Amino acid sequence: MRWCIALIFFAFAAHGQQLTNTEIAIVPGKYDARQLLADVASHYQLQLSYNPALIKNEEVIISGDLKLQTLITKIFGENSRFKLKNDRLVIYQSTAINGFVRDKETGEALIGASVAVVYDGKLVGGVITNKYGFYALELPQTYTEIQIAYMGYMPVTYALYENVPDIIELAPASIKLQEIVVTDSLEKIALVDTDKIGHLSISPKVLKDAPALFGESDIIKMVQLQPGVVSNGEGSTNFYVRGGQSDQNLVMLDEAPVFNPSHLLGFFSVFNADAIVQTDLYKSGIPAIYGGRLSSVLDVRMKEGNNQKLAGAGGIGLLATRLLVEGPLKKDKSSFVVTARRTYADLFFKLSKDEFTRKTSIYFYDITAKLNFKINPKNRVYFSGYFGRDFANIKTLQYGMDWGNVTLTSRWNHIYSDKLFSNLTAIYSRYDYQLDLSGSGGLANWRSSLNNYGLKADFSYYHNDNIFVKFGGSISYLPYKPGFGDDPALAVPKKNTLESALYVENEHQLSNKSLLTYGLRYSLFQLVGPATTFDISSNGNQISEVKQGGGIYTNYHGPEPRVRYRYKLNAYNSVKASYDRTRQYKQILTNLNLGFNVFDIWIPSTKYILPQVADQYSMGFYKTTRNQALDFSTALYYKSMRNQVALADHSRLLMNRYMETEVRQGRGQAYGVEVTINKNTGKLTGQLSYTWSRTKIKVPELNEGKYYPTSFDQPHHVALFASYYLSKRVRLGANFNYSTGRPTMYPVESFTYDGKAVPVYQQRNSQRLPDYHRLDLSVEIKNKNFDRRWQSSWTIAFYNIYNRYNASGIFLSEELNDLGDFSQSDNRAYHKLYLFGIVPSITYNFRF
Amino acid sequence: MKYILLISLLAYSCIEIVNVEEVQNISGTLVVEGGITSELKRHQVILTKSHGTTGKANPEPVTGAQLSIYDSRDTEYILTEQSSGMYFTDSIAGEVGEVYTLVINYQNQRYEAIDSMVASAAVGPIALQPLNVSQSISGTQYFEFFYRDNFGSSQPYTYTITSEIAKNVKDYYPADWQPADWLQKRLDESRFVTTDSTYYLLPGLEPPAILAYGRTNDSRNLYGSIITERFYSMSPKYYAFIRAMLSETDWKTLGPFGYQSANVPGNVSNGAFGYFHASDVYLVSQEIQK
Repeated sequence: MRWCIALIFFAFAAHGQQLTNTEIAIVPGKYDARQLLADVASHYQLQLSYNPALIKNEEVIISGDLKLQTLITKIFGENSRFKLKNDRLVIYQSTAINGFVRDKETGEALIGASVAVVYDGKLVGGVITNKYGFYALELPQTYTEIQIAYMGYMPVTYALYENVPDIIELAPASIKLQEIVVTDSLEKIALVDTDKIGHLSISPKVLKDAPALFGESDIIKMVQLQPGVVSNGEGSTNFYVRGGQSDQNLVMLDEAPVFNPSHLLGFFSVFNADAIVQTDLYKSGIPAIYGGRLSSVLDVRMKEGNNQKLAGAGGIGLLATRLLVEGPLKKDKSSFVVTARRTYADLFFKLSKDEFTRKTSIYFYDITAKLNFKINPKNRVYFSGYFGRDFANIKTLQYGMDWGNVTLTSRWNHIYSDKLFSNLTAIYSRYDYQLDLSGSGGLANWRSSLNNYGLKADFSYYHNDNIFVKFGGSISYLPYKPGFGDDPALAVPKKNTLESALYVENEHQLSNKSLLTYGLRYSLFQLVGPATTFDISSNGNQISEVKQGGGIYTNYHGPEPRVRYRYKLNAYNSVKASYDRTRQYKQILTNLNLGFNVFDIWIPSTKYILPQVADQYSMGFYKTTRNQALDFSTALYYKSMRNQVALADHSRLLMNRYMETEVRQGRGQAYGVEVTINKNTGKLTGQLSYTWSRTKIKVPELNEGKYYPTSFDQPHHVALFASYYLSKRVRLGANFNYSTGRPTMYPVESFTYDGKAVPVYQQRNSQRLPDYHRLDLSVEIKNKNFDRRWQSSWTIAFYNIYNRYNASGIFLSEELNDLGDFSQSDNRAYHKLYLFGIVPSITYNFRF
Repeated sequence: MKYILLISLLAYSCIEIVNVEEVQNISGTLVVEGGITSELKRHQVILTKSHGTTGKANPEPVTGAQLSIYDSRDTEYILTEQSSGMYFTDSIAGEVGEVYTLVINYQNQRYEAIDSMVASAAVGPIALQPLNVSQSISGTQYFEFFYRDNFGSSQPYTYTITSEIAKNVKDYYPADWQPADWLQKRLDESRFVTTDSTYYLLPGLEPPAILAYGRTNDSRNLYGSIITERFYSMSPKYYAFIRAMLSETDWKTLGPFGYQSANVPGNVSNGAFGYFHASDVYLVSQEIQK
């Protein structure tokens, strides 16, 4: 046996990360394992730390250059790992575990639950569960304590990882127990630990606790209260994230895109709060799995249904009634959940003495349903769907409209191994509307629709506790019918598109302090014939139609790199940064200055409408207190946007066959700072945030080619929502929302031509509506039936408690004192439109 | 207008008049309205000043300005002020294909507006339908016609239609024929014109205008009535001005049929508002024959 050791190291060999990747040059031969390790450590001036009992091979044969991990595997076996910590080379054995985290009472998957690895009382690693409640992690065998926590649930600790079951069940914490959770808080993955930046999760509890218009909790109204998000005010489900248009938000229900999430002209969203289990909003640091929109992702997940027992919940309010029923199809194996809502204001209209009101009908209904089947521990399938429809008919004017969304999702979760998880998804979604104008004397009706047929494959690979890779791809076929009616000559030619993407993303734990996630998404957009397209003459005055044959006639594509980085200053403070490039191949064309968005027209990129591209740079500081009772965060962002869409002066969209020729494109900029404080535990919980932001756009053909503020540029935004438990039975809630008034254009003078007063404006959006602010209060009183099957509560809410008439818009016309006023007047005046003063509501909620 | 507003605002429960006078910036800018046509007549240009946005529109006339129209051969046609702010040429007729420039000198400022006269296409006369006997009154045979559609025209026009009862209408009927009361009153008062409408015929569909105007009919036409239609051509720039002007006035709505608000692009230099146009006139006249 030759004990002579000959090591030839590269001259540039160094400590730390370089050692991880550098190949060590060792003269081929047979070596004593312990001595070889000692020599390697000595050469790199590292102290060596390992358990000799873990050595599998006392002697090793070296045949050439090799990496340190390869050497360690030769000596310690397959599950051996090393870490470099404070000039110490630590060698250890690891193990991989995976499973699901679920609600103990209902079997519902808990999305975003933290699975923490604790050693010596300190958090040393961990993950959060994915959208299916699944987790996988690798941990050193010396780190045996696993702690699982989720807001509103009793945490669970396993002292030995061998004891961790495939399905970890957490019991919901009662009000009283929530205080125990505070004082007995366990280590969990906190805001400072993840590399998520500009991300927000809204749990059903937070959603339910907030005061709501007409007592109906609404996820989009909650999103509108978040820092970096602004809205049109009341009566709108539009929201604008960090200077992006409302169509730059990817809104999804169980992975199916929702193209118009509005009910009742925008007073409510399509999302029934009872059916929602988790909502995530990404404003920056958008994972590579998401694409197709520039500014944000709103990922809404439906409940799976109680797989233990038949249960239900619902509410009866002044405006709507809702009901949820869920239960097992086969206990522990399969479950269902069905929800339904309907408003009934139209029923009260029929009681009116006024004929106009009596013959007016405005209502909506929606139904959601989900089934899930656990085929075996490695396979699970889900089927979910949404169907909703709105109707507004004014018979006295022979005017009506209806609109609605449909989504269908089928998913198959498969666990290939301890490390590889997949989700295959088939998606259908649709938005359409119809406008009945039979009373107009010339127009019969007008319809528009957009369908989406999609397939997705997503994979998660947990390589080790340092490397977590996600990859996959998607393809969607989207037929657009932007507008058509009885007259084919007016119809906007339909367009068919294919949108495809491949992505890969690696979450790389560089060290205990550094976490780097880098990914690349590559998207491809194709216009598919046959189709009718337009050619515009060079002077822009002549439009000629061109018939495209079958096949692809236009395509766009490009990379979308995404990077996130987190550096932990210590256990309670971290800094983060991110860069996102996003691309968007479809847009809404709208010229409405009001909030409601029923008549949005989706139109894809074309020869004349180039894909929108954005680059966002974001950085932030995150802090949490020792018991995680308080979180503080601040974020800065700058977003540069290309090919932003604006409409030409005096353009009109509805019934315009050549509407795409009305589009002008230019550059956009958005920047701002967001500050947020969250109180997570105790009797008083809530969030206070402040945002300062600006957003502007420059289009060569508009506004003399100068930058002008977008219609949602609202520099100051303050939002507060809080919940306070007076007792076990009584909870108070409050929302406060302030934002600078939205930019708009008022005429500053007029001139008379042909007897008409023609308005004169200054620059685009050079004036503002009055500032918006509103305070909502609510009280929830639970009935004394805590321990009974039937549990109920009353919620009394006051929306806009101080009765402020916030302007939805201001317009100039002949004096109009109310909507029924047809009297002629030569006097012209500015009119403010507003939706509500104070709106009291009372809702009876129940569950069984 | 209010009907359009109503439909677009159905979602809204409350409207109140507000004062946003702080945004007012009344510049008193010169406003030009008028043109030259191919008809031999005295052509008019009206000069006013811009004014506030609220209350009754009562534009201040601009007096004391010097106005001339030039053609491409530099022939000058001088306009004289006949009444406050109203300036007229002598009796002249423009020519198709000619480019006309209006020059205004006012308070040491020079303003110019240029437009070219494009030809009107030939258009057939409007169709007349005899009303059935049961709809006719006092044994009089009446005729009706439907106004031309606002949209779908081969080219844009400012359009006028007049219907005039024949002064000798009784000659078209038997000796014992007795006019209806309304007709006798008109004859007594020498009010022969029963229809006098001006509106625009435009190529593209403008839904708010359909809601506002729609199609209608006129049934007060008898034997001997003369129906005269005039089609005033528009240059592309004039059409753009008219369309923009209407989208900011008669067609204005906040609802789904709304237009993207913007300033109306005129053709007068030096920051003045308004438009000076040149229009060929195609005239169609028909008498209702017995």
